[in-house]
Amino acid sequence: MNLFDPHIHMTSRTTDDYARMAEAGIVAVVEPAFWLGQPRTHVGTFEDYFLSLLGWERFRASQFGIRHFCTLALNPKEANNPAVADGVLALLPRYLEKDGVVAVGEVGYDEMTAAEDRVFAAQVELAKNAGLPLLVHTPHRDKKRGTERTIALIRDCGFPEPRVLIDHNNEETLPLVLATGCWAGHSIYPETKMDEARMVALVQKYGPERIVINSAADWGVSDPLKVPKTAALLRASGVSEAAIATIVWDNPVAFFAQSGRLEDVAARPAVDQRRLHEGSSVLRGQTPVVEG
Amino acid sequence: MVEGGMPPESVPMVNAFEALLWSRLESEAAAWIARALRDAGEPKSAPAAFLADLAGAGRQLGRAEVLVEAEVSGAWGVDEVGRGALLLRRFAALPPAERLALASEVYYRGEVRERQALLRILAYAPEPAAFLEIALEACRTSIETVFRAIACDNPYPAAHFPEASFNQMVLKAVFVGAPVSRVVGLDRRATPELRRMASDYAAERRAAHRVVPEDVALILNSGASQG
Repeated sequence: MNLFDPHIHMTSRTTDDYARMAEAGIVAVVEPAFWLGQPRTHVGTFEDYFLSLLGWERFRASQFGIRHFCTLALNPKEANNPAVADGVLALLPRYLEKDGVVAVGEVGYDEMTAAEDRVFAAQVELAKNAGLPLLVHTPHRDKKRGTERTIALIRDCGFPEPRVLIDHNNEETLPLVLATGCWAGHSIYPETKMDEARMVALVQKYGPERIVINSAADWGVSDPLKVPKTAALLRASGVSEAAIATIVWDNPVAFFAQSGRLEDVAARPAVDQRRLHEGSSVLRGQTPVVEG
Repeated sequence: MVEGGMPPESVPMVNAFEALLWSRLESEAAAWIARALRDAGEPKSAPAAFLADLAGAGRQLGRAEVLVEAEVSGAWGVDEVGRGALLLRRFAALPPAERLALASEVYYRGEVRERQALLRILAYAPEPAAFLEIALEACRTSIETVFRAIACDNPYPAAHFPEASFNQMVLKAVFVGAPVSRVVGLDRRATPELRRMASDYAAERRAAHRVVPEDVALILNSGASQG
């Protein structure tokens, strides 16, 4: 079964992770732009970050047989930093036009400040203008209120709900999201957010429609194999193969295909580790893997 | 003791910091901080030299823990005490319009313990309300010790944060395991909205079959207006 991890921060992960992900059946990933664990102090560092998501990281994934797409945005946390916020918003229209960008994201709320309201709404407009869907982060703290406020903002902006994926849901927010036309993402984490067993219970209760799962793996303690691990537990719990395929492949493909830019997603790229990206290789003296 | 030119709100803290430094430091480190404090208080000394002293204070002074007894007492590193004294001296020497730029420089490009020292002394700096955005930014950190420097044993948030920001900080303390009992002014600042947030969080944890942290009860039971 082809697997899709629609939310994973691969710039923080190693080549070993890519190799294990490919072995576990992951053939496509979406990497949302987010914050890097500490505040950036220049607009220019965002620009280089966007360029690395579109360039080196996409190449690195291809070297392990994984299709890499990304979403670009100013994340909610750094929306609060006036030294960078407007400068990054000004960069985005150009970057959103680039190949491999399949949504605007992660946008949304962190603390639900006035600055976050403004930047979120501005980026909904950018998504409208670029013809892209929207990937929305929901806050860690006061999550239910944050989810309600997210839905209200999307409705106020008149953005079509089927083009919105609201992420990091839990038992309390999922019913709110399913009551809209939006898609519902779940980040399967070692401790926080959602775990495999709770996810199985949610699928048994609500079914697979508009349900998406991801690892949200990043620079913290997280697990890039959470999509295959959750698929395995769904299977062991008696969920049908068709329902599992809907969740781990059909749904994320259908959502991001609304961008019109999800090219060749099902075709695993043939690995050719002789290739270079701007003169750099992922290899360090190893014999290149070359698939026919 | 502090001479003229120091804003009155800074004087007791600078005196307390300097007394601590003289009692704790060996002669070489004491001579270093005495020189650095003199330079910091000199308005015409180079900004880059001040930033270098602030960065170097970690190596020069060490990190031994000392008890700072002030409006709010707490355990600080001796480097944080030295840096706090340097910052308060520097703020006093600078025109008001330049203080925020210095604080931003220290927050965004200082190392972790420089940021912690800055956050710990904000309440005692001249015109402390001007530093609100930096204190709010510190609440967004993923570095636990930086978060604790603003959230715990620090009078600044209760004195200057708007309600929504104070509430977010208290809830984040529960999330990251910073002791809510050490949030200064919790009882005075607690509102029905903060209790609603804590109650929703407890419900979310129960729905996920997870333990509700004990500190949630401290929030639910806080606030004079409760009823």
